[in-house]
Amino acid sequence: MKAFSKKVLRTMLLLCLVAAPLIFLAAEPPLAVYYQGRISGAALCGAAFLFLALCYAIYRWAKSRIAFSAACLVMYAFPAAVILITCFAPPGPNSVTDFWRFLVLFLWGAAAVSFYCGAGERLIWPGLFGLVLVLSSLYAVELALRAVPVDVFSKQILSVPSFADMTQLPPPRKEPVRAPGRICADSARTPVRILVVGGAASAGEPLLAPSLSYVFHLQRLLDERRPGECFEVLSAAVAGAGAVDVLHQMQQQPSPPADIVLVESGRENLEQRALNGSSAILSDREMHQRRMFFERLSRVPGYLTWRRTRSFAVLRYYLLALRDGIAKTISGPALKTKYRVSSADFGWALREAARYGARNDLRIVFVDVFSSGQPKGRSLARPDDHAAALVRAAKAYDIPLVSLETNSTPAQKREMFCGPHLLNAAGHRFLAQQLYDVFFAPQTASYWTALWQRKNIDPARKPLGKEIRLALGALDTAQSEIRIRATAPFLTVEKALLAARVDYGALHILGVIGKDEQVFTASREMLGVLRPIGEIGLRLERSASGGLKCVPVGTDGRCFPAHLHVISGGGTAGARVYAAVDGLRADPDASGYNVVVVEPRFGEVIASACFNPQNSEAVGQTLDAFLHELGRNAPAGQEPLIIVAVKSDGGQNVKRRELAEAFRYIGGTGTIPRPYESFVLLGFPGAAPGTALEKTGRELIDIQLGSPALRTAYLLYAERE
Amino acid sequence: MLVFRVAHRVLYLGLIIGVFWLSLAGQAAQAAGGNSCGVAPDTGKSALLPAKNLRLYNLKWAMLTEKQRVVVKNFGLMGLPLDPRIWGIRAEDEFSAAPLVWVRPFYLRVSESPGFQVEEASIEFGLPDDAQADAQPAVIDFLFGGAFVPAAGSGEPLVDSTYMLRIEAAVNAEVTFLFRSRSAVEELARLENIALQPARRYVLTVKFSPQEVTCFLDGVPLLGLRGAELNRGLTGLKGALRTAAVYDFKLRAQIGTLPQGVDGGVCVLGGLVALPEEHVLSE
Repeated sequence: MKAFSKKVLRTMLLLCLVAAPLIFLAAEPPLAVYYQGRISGAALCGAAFLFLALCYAIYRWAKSRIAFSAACLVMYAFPAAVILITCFAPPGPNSVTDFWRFLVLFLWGAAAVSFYCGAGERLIWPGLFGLVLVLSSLYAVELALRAVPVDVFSKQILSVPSFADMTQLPPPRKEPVRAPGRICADSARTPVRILVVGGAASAGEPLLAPSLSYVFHLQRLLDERRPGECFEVLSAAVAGAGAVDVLHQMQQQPSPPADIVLVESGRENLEQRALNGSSAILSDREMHQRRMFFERLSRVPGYLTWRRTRSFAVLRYYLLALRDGIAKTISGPALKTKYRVSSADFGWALREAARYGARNDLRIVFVDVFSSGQPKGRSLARPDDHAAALVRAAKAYDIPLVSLETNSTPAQKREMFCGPHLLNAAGHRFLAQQLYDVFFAPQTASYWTALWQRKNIDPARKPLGKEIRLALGALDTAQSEIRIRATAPFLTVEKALLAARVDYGALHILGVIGKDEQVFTASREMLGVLRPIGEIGLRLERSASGGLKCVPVGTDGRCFPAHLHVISGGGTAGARVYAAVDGLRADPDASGYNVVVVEPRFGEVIASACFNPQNSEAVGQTLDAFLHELGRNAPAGQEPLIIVAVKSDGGQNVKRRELAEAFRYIGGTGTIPRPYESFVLLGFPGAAPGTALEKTGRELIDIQLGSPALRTAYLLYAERE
Repeated sequence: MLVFRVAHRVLYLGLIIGVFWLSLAGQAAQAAGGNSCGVAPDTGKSALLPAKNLRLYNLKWAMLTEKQRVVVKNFGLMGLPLDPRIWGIRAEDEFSAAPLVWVRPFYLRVSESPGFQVEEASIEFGLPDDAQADAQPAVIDFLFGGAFVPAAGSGEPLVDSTYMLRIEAAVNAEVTFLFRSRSAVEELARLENIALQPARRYVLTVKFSPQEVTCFLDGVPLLGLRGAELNRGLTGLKGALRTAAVYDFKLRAQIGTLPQGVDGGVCVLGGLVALPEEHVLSE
């Protein structure tokens, strides 16, 4: 009898050894692994090990059949108990993670194997036969299931389960989007790639235009202030992503990989979404760990084959139904939604991000845009555990932290948020400025030294700009004059005039400026009425004696101070358009006549518009009115440069006489492109007909005016003395 | 004969429909706060976005669908819908998911007019019935003397500044004059510990002269500010994450010469959209 029991025991052991992992894998991932109580996973694991050791001891030395049967019972009941406890208990704060669950199963399996081998040295062949028998039985079941017509199975059974429950997946990671700007046109250096990972704030939600997001402002600041150096800001942020999702975004680096990663740590937890479905609830952190495990598992040969079997689908379906039934019985509808990731998980994700950065030689910057502004009914003294976790992680790994919470006053903060944790356009601009300062501030210089040296960037270089704005505080209103130190470093030969204006008022010339640093004085008369926080804007203007280089446009003697690049492709030449001033693209990129209006002294884009003949045959009249309006409003001698470039087609459905009139007004000959022809016209309102730069034809037209050096000619640096 | 009878009935039906729509339009004007001055015409150079969804404001509240009601409620401060014909927002304050947005400034369209001069504004506000001494104050900002010039592209605005009168309504209320230029904010004057009673309404009146602004609470002078051209420029309202309950707002101003050459005269502006009692958001 004992020998028979041993055979049965061994067969069942084999069955368990094979079936338990299959059951476990079939149950992934919606079988949640929570249990209620305060026992940690480690304690559960230790208890399990002791249990197994006891069972083994009883089995080896048991003399009575009752003791032997009890040992068998405990032995087989144990794995079922572990799975039941971990699968069907309602969610609680101390959940068993995948790690502990696997440790329990591993120990159980190891003990079972040693038990089998120790007890049956002389019965190996029957044991192996049992193993083959079990596998054959499983295969037979699979074949039988496949023989059943498909219609018999419900749709839920036949659907191939995903690796993770869709309701608990993070938002899909998108390909990093490049902020529009200068594409390193004036630099031969390797770009410094800045990857932004984060949630709604980084993705620009809920702003209507993504160009108002801090990601784009940061690119603009780097382009404007660091000419000759190349920075590329990429955004992989997805609205709704929390701190744990950010890890996932980081781990999928673009190619080539980033040098700097801005980690905008959202507090969201996707756990709330799971409540809408029937799945059990997992926190983001557990979901992340589970996802990583199954991603590795999916690469194991044979696993995907097993997932595709019908027995897997059936087993999984009924296990899920059983789980849901029990979960509802136990917990009912009283599950509480957790909209925020726990501060412990939040801190863990940040530390993981920091470690990932250290392993991959990435410079990490933590960005916190969460406002402590209190929504309705909240007490004033609500501790922000997440912010504390963020500060701790930043300190532990010596990572710069840009936090609007600490970098702004309460009054400033009120102006930067449109919701409890949503930045408005002003907030995004402020954040971009803060990030720029972190890159080049002396306080954080040691963090960046190696990277800047590798990329040949001089962090101490003064920030340059086409217009420098200096804030005037309340004290300035009492002074009779304001002294300004300024230099135009790229004016090595030529000279220009330094012009100033207060609060975007009229321009006043302060003096002649060159590459040498000089001090200029703005008098009280020029400043006029100052508001509590005034602003003085400084920029360069061509001197009366010529000064800066100016590129002639057309034949009437007028010139333009910036680098221009215009491309027009009709339908016969690729249907494309490109109009860039100083490397910054300004065209609307629409079919028809793309018009860009550029201010003539500094080369700033004033407006851009598209006039598509396919929408209205009155395009000539509309364009004529538009150009005349520009001409009327401009001061004499300061008429804007008009760039007209056709994309796709500008020759059909037009009233040719009116359109020719419009073109003649800006110096064109009155030529209208034929259907699907390319066409470019650069002229000034009021110029004599035939004096503008004009090209038309069936080929692609590509015009460049001026040297790229003009891009830097008007840059200056200024500061209060 | 038959043709005549059909034509007669069609005409009769058309007359009934016409009268019905005219009555609705009349009711809509009433809902718009009884504005006696009309709205400044859009000259095409406005920094404020054109009015949208005007059709909804011509309909009775009961005729609106739930979605349309949300649209009406979302254009304004929390609990205080505003009429888009009188109030406008800047382009950078338009968001894709308006229900997520709690705070954004609303400006009187007519305040863009160069001849616009505020004379007096009054805000009727109140505390919730259960206001506690340690509760977070509910805030309402009255904006005046503002200037906003957007950049040609999506860059930083060329000018973005405003004066603000901030009421932090609580049992111990505060009134503060502030000036904001871009992200810099400077406090100009402040009065603290103004004792307010829960479940009572108060009227804060702001009187303007070109060089001075004075605010009064129920007729008692509170705080003053001296400056230059304080009564000109963009004028508006802004809430906060916790916005004070505003029951009424009136502003008297000289409109000056309108773009078509007509003198706008002195106007009383309101522009609050009256909601049925059960739809008013309370604190």
